[in-house]
Amino acid sequence: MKHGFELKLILLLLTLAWSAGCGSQEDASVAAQAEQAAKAPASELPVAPEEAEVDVVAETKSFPVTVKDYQGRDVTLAKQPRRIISLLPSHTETLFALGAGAQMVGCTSLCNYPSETKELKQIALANPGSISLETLVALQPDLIVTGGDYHRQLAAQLETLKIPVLALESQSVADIEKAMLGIGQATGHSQQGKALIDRLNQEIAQLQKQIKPFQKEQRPRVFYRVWDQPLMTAGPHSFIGELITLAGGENVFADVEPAYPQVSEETLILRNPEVIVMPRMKEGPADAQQVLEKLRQRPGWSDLAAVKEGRVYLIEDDVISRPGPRVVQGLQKLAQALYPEAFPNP
Amino acid sequence: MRPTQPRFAVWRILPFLGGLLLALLVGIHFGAVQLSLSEIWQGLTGAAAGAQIETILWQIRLPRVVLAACVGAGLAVAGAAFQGVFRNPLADPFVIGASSGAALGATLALLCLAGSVTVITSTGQVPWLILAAFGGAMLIVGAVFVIAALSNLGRSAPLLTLILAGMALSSFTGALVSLIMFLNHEMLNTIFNWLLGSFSGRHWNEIAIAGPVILVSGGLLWMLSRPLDLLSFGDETAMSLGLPSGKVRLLILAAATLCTAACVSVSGVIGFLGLMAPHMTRILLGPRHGLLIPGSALLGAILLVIADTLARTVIAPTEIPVGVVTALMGCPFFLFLLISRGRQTM
Repeated sequence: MKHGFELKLILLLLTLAWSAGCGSQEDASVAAQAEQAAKAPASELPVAPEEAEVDVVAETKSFPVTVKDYQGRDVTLAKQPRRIISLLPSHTETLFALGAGAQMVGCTSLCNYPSETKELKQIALANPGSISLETLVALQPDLIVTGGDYHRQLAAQLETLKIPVLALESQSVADIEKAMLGIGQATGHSQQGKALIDRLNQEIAQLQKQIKPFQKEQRPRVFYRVWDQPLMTAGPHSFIGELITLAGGENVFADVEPAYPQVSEETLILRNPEVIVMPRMKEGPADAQQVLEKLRQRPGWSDLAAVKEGRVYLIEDDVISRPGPRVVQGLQKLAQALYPEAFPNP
Repeated sequence: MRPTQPRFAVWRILPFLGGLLLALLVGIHFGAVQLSLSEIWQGLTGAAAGAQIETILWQIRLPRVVLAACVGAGLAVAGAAFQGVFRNPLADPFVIGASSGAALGATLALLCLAGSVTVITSTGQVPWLILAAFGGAMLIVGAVFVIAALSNLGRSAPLLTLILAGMALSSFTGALVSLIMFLNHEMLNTIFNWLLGSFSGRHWNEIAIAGPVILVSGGLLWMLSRPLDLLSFGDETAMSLGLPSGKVRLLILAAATLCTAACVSVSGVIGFLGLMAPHMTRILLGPRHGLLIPGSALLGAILLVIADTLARTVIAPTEIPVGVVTALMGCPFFLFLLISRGRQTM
């Protein structure tokens, strides 16, 4: 597992070095693109010349379009969807980021970003089993975007009803990019999809460049507290685990298999994290200082390095645990927690 | 006629005491973090063994092991009493709704305290979760008794009415808990953990609250072991021997319920122990309650300390709920009991 992390880090650094060392030609073209993008409105992003032809052809032919879902199966859409339902908050954010928000008619009750989601039909979502098929059908959707395995059963039911379903996983940065690409194609916004992916990668690379001078051989040891009773953390195979690595931290529970396991308090105390990060719930305390006081009172926790040094951070749960286009915000907050010295003016 | 026992019978309980000491030692020795025997000795005697080890030993592991012993003893004693009073070998603390009532109380408390989970088990705080679980248990058992009293005007088999009313209300509260889980997806893990029983994150605080209740109610049941002997011969025999069976029965049920509620409120629902421990003790020590009750207490403590040690260590640093371990241990035993029941009478 450890080797995996090191390998990833090395690859990342190599990528960074490569992109820095590359000829100025590319930098110039990126800069030019960015400039153009700034001038033009988002809906008509200019395209690189060599890609333009392909995409113009695609736009004229446009639909029907065939998109691969998370299992590699083909989903064919006869015409551009106008009544889209998203069943995952992260996919909803992606749809809006791509400019497909106007084509949406419904989302889940957990979708709270951007604020336009309030105008959509909110489908109550406690868990996939509680979604009412009738409510979905009544909205007359011509595309429902679902999460992969989480909605597998529901997707099968929708398929028997002849409603097009695009199932896309949302568990990692790679998944986010696949979703951006797939949703972009399916909704007639493939250009914006590619642009969004580029921007995402640039922002992540930029952030890592910013913390790089402050990284030492020993990465800060992080404990991410998902829940308190039982004590639950984010394992290395989870989205949050990935963000910790990307932000230059070392997960103190890097050796667990499940994504969000219940872990032993003993091990936590022995591994003595230097930084504790928690999601900030809406109804929970807003102030990290308040949480720190409570942690001090917990038996055994007052001896933890993170608690002693007051390095306990709250990150809004929407940006840290939602694998969507705002991933960079979560990553930035995490990087700030790990390397405060790299962010002099937060 | 007083049932007499051989004078040396008391000595037969000594191996149980030895077993408990051994189980406690095993429980302290094994954990997610390995402590050597010399480290334990140094830690226990106050010789410096390192701050971390001392923290783990005194603040995390010892309270867990001691709490497991208390709860194991409490559940086993309550089980023995229920079996004696109901003259039913399958009776256990679940039967009159104490466990499911506690689960409902705890679930409701978790729902209301969702934002401030951190507070729940900090020392020096009002233990709302424990109080709510306790309240829930008393409420449901109270309802069972009221229903039984209402239906019992014709004096037909009162014990059967109690058991049936308990089962019905258990199903009802179980459905309520399931509904709450269904509607609060994000709390699924916490509630689930509670329903399966766990000692994760429990500290001296819980022992200080539940320990005295278990000790007093368990002691009361031990003092009532002679009436329990008589009751298990049948009502008519008991009454012909001058026992006011109605009042005594109510006292025994009240004490056993109190004991169960105290256990469940700190540990969650731990299945099979209240059934398993008294029957094993009966096979080893015989059916007389004067010996059966302390024997069950010791054996229950031994079994639960071992079960919790397994729960902590099997896939460390990840933990599994102890209720799963007791059910896995208990089910084969229960089947064995069914097969060999003819041989061993109560």
